Amino acid sequence: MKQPSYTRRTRVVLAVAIAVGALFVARLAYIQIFHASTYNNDSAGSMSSTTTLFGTRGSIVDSNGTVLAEAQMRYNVTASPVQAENSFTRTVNGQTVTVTPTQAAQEIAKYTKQDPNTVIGALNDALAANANSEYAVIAKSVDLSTYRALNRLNIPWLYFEQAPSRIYPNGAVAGNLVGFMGEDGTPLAGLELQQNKCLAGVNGEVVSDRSVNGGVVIPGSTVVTKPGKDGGTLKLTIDADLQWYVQQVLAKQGRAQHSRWGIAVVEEVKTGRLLAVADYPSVDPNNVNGTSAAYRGANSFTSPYEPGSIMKPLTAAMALDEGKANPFSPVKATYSVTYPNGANFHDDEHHISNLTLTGVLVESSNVGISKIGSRVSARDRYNYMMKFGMGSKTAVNFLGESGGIVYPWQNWDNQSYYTQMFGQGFTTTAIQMASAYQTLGNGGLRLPVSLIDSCTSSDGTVTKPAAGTAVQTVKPATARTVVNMMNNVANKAWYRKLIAIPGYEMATKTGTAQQSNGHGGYSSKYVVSLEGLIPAQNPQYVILVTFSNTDMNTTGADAPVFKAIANQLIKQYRIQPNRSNVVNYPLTY
Amino acid sequence: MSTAAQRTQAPWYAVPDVVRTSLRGIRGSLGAKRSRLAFVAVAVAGPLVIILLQLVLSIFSSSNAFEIDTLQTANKDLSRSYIAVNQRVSELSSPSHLARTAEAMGMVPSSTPAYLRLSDGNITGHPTAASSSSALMRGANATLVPNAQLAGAPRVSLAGKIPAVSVAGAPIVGGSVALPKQPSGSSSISTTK
Repeated sequence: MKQPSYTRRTRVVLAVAIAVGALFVARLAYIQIFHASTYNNDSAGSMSSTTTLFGTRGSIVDSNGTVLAEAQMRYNVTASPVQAENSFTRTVNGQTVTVTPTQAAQEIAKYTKQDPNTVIGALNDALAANANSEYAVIAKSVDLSTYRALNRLNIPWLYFEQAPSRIYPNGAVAGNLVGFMGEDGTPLAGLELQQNKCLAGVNGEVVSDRSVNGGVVIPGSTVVTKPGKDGGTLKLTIDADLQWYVQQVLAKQGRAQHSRWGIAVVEEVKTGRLLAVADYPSVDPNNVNGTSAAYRGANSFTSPYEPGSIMKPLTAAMALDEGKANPFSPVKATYSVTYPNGANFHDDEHHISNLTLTGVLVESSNVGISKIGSRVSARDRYNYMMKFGMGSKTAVNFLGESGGIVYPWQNWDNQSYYTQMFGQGFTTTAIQMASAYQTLGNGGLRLPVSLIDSCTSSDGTVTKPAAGTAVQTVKPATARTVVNMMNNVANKAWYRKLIAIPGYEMATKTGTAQQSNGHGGYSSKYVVSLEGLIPAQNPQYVILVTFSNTDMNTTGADAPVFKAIANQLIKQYRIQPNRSNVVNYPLTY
Repeated sequence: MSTAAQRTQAPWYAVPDVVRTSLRGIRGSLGAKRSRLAFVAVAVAGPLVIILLQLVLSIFSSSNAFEIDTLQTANKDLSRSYIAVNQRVSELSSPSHLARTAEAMGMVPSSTPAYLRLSDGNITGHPTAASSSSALMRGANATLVPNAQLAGAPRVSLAGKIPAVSVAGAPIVGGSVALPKQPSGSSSISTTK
């Protein structure tokens, strides 16, 4: 009795269901097949949007964590010129005000610190090129406060792009080492460029659905399509406070002496770590154009020069190490000399001639050192020079670093066979000379020079740069004796009062080197250097100060800078006064 | 078609023919009617509840979306301010700015280091008062190590609320070393206005 009714009902329900289903299918086909492209176009951009997840570039910090370079988000101001042609309205204090494109441009220019016509010109140029132009750059890389002020103007055709940039909170402090970046975020110089692998971040991408009205992200729709990665932190061996001080005193004297360039280096004797490497003039990475192109890098690493008489202690070390001399060795240190091979040269000044080796260093006699140094064969001297680190780059391997030029001993001409002993006829960088004195201060063991402490990646992995090898250059006793002789120099040479710090002993040597005049001859202006170790009894720090083309044209120009740096090291690293164990060598025989 | 065949072909929702199979009479029939009603009620109400719940949830979630967006924007804005302010702090604490500020307040770097040993009050080294000539940041020297980030940084002026410090003759007592008098020229340390 009831079975037929079931059947009928079933059929009706089925028919209705099929009809509805068919309707859906038809609509689906209408949307997905016949009008697919229209809807796709409509949905693209308005519903789903891709955002760049900027991988933040890592910071460069000093040995204490002081930030020398860090990432900063800046903003490019762009406009849609086709929209900008029309005025828009804005409500000010409940009143509707019409803002013309010219007025808007004036408002923008006020904050971007441009000429309003530059803004208008950018819009007009874009419209002249394409009447429907949707994109024109108004200003690049504006800071957060400018971006906020512009955003508050509510100009409907003004848009902003994120522009990751770089900031150097300490300005020119270590700017010569840190380097700088281009406006587009390309590393251009220094460690920024060389250590880009450590510092660079990787940008990621996020796709999310957004509401048509207001572009609000719909919850749960965010998908990271490409994960980004922040860059690592590069830690240097430099001490930013000391670096600033060294740069400041170097620049102050450089300016007073109308010097062309100056370099000051502080290296830690027991570790080979560079604590300060100053160049004058130097670059402020925040304002690269403020410094001429020749001084935007680290000439301390990249520009070798003839070191001059600061080479003499190394020559003395060679003679001592070979057993060919001692601090008391007498030598007839005449004013000038002509050797059998024809080589001839003279000293800068006349002095008494019956000098000991220590006296030769105190008087800085070229003739005296050449007579003692030539007791060691050219081949052995060449090998010592190599062991002192000359002729090859230091372990730092700074961008564009030079190893200087030392010709093989077989190629030494008659003159340079002798002049090399007082630092002429070959070139070294300031860093190489600092490293050579570090060797003397460290018992003859030359440690690899280091500038980079480590790179800490964003996941916390710490990578140390490959450590070079230490080289036992001369015997510990030789190194000790040479430092004692240099201590005698510091206490007895003509400039002793210019560098003396009561209560402290130093070991020093000066150098006045000729330099090329750029026309194949020597200039009348010298490269003057003062290099030394403090404290003399147990050397902790190497200090090297070098100037080119000073008014004084003597190492007297270096002395105040050397003394100021020594003072600062004493204060900053708490070196206790100590005048004990001073070895007094006779200067004459 | 036989009844048996029809029964086997009955759809899954067909209620079994309890009248014919039940020997218990009316009671079973009433129960079956009730269960059928309950089934319909559940079948109708269930989807309704689900639709309503979904509606309520989506209203909540989409209204929250705007709130989340507002909060996220505020968060982003605040973290930008945080970074900007921190960067300003590191700019202002840069050594050149500190030195310039210190010199504007009449301080100069000491030129002769000395130590006071606390255990016995002995002075090691030879303390000498610094003179104004050890100033590093005077005039054009202030910008020798430039920092474009410091443009517009506050400069210390001694004409402010805190009274200026008199540099001359601050006596240091104790120890065995007599401290020389401050040179008379030292009171002329100029301040940056």
